[in-house]
Amino acid sequence: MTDLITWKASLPTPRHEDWKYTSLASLKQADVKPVVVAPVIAARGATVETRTGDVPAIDDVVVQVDEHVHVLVHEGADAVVTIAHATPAGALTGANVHVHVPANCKLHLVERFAGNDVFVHVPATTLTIGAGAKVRYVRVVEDAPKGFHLGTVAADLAPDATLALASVVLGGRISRTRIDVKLAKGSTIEMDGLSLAGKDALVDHHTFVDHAEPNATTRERFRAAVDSGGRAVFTGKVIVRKGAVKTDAAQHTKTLLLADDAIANARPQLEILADDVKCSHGAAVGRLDEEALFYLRTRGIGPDDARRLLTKAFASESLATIDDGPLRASLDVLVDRWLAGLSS
Amino acid sequence: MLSIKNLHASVDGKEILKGLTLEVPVGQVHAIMGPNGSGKSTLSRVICGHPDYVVTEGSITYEGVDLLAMPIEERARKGIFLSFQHPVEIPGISTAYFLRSALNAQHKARGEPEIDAIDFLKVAKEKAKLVELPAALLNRPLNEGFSGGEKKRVEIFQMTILEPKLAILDETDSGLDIDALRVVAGGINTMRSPTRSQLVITHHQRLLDYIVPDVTHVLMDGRIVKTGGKELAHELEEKGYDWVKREVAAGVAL
Ligand SMILES: Nc1ncnc2c1ncn2[C@@H]1O[C@H](COP(=O)(O)OP(=O)(O)OP(=O)(O)O)[C@@H](O)[C@H]1O
Ligand SMILES: [Mg+2]
Repeated sequence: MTDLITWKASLPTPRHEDWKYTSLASLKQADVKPVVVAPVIAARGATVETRTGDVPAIDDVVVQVDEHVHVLVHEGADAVVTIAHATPAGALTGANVHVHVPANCKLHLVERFAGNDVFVHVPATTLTIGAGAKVRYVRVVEDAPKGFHLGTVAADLAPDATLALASVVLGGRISRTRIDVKLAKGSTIEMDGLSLAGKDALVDHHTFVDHAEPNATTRERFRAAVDSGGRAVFTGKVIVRKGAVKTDAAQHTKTLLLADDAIANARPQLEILADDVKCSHGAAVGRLDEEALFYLRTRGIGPDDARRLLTKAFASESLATIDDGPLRASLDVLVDRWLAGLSS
Repeated sequence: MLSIKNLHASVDGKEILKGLTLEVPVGQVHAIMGPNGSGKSTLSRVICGHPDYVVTEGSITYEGVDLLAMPIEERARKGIFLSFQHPVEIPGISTAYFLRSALNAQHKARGEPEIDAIDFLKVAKEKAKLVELPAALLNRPLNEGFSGGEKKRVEIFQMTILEPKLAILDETDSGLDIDALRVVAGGINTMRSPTRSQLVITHHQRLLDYIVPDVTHVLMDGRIVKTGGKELAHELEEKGYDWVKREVAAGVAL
C-alpha cells in the first residue's frame, strides 16, 4: 500500500505542463489515510477476478494497490457491467479495474464514483478492447464538495473496435479525469464529456488520443459549466503518428461561464505527423444567451430559474447520447441537484 | 387594460419610440400595422420589459398599475404574453418540459397548485390539436430546427396553455402558409373573450380577415399616427403607407 508521505511528495506541481491549471496544493492538506476499498461490481456476460502483483498501466498520479480487479467479458457476449466506487470519509484509496473485451463482443459499462466528506480517490481503469468489439462506457463522478478525485482511464483499441465514452463529472473540490486512448487501424473513439464545476470547484478533463495506425476516427465533444470561483480545465491532446493516414479527428469544446469570476482553460493540442488526414478542433467560451433569458422570463420563469433551465439545457445536450433510460434519469437527478446548488 | 402614454424608448442610445400613446380596453382586439423599422417589435418588447430598451419618458399602466416598475416575469404572471416575431431556439430542453416549467412558475406565483407531468401532457395534447401541432413536436427541443411556421404555431400553442389576459402577437402570421394561417388564427380566436385583450401586430390584412380587430392603428416612426376601424387595414393594403405619411405631414391624420 502507498506510503502517504512519499505519495504526497510525489504529486505534480503546476510547473508540470499537464498540471498547469490544476494545483494539488489543497489536496496535500487533506487529512486522509490510505485504505483499501473494493469496488462493488455487478456483471452479466462477464466474470470478475482479483489478481495480485499487477502494476498501474498509466503514467499519471496513481496509488499502488496490491489487488487488481479484472472484469473478463465472455467470448461472444453482449455484456452489461456496473462498477460502483464509494469512498469513505478520510480515505485515500484507488481501486485498479481492468476490463477485457474479446473480439466482436459488446459491452455496456457504467462506472460510478461517490464519496463522503474529505477523501482522495485515485482510481485507475483500463480497457483492452478486441478487434471489432463495441464498448459503451459511461463514467460518472458525483458531486462531493470536499472530495478529491484523480481518475485515470487507459483504453487500448484493437482494429475496427469502437469505444463510445461519456464522462460526466459533477464537481468535487478537485476532480481530474485523465483519459488515454490508443487507436488501431479502423477503430473509433467517441468521447462526450461534461464538467460541472460548482462554486469554487475545479473540474479537469485531460485527454490523449494516439492515432498510431491508419483509418481511425476520433470524435471529442466536451462541455463545461462553471459557477462562481470555479474552474474548468480541458486539455485535448491528439497525436497522429507517421503513417496514420486517413485519420479523421474532430475535437470540440464549449464552456459556459455562469459568473464573472468563473474560469475556463481549454487547450487543444494537435500534433499531426502524417499526411492525408482530416483534423479539426474548436473551442467556444460564452455566457448564457440574454435573448433566451428574456424569452423564458416573458413566460413567467424567474431569473434564477431561467438561468438554471438554460444551464440544464446546455448540460442535457451533452447527455443526449445516453440512451439507457434509467441511467439517464439518474444523471438528470444529479444535474438538477448540482443546479440547485448554484450560487445564484 | 393597457394604457400607454407618451412613451419614449431608446436602444443603444438611439430613440425608437418617440411619444407613443395607445389605449387597449379590456375585451378588445387592436391591430397595429406599420412600415418595417417603425418600432412595432420595440413596442412589444418594451411592454414585456426587455432590459436593452430604456424608457426615457412616458408611462405604461396595465390593469391600473405601473408596468414599467415590474420585473419581466412578474408581467407574465400578471397575464401578459408575447408571441415573438423571432422565437428563440433552446436546444436541450423539450418543448413540453419548458412549457410545464413556465406554467408552474406562473401557478406558483399566483398561489395555484402545480401541475404534474402526466396531467400537463393531457392538457398539452388537447391544445396542440387546436393549432394542429403534431404531438411529437412536444418532445423535441424547443424551437430547435422547427420550421418558421412551426415556431409560430408553437407560440400560439403556448398562449392557449398560459391563457394570458393580454396577448401581444408580433407578426404571428409571417411565415405561415394559407392553411396554417387559418388554423393559427382559429387558435388565437379561441382566446378572444370579454375579459381578455389582444394586440395584433401584422403587415397583412389577410390575418385580420380571420381576427377581425375592433380598432386598427398605424405606427410610424415611433408613434401611433392614425387610428381607425377594421376597414383601415383594407385601406392600407390598397394604398400603402405613403398616403398616411402625406396626411401626417399635412397634419390631418389621427
Ligand atoms: N439593439 C438595437 N440597436 C440599434 N437599433 C436597434 C436595435 N434594436 C432595434 N433597433 C432599431 O429600431 C428600429 C425599430 O425596430 P423594430 O424591430 O421595432 O421594427 P418593426 O416595426 O418591428 O419592424 P419589422 O416590421 O421589420 O418587424 C429599427 O430601425 C431597428 O434597426
Ligand atoms: Mg418587428
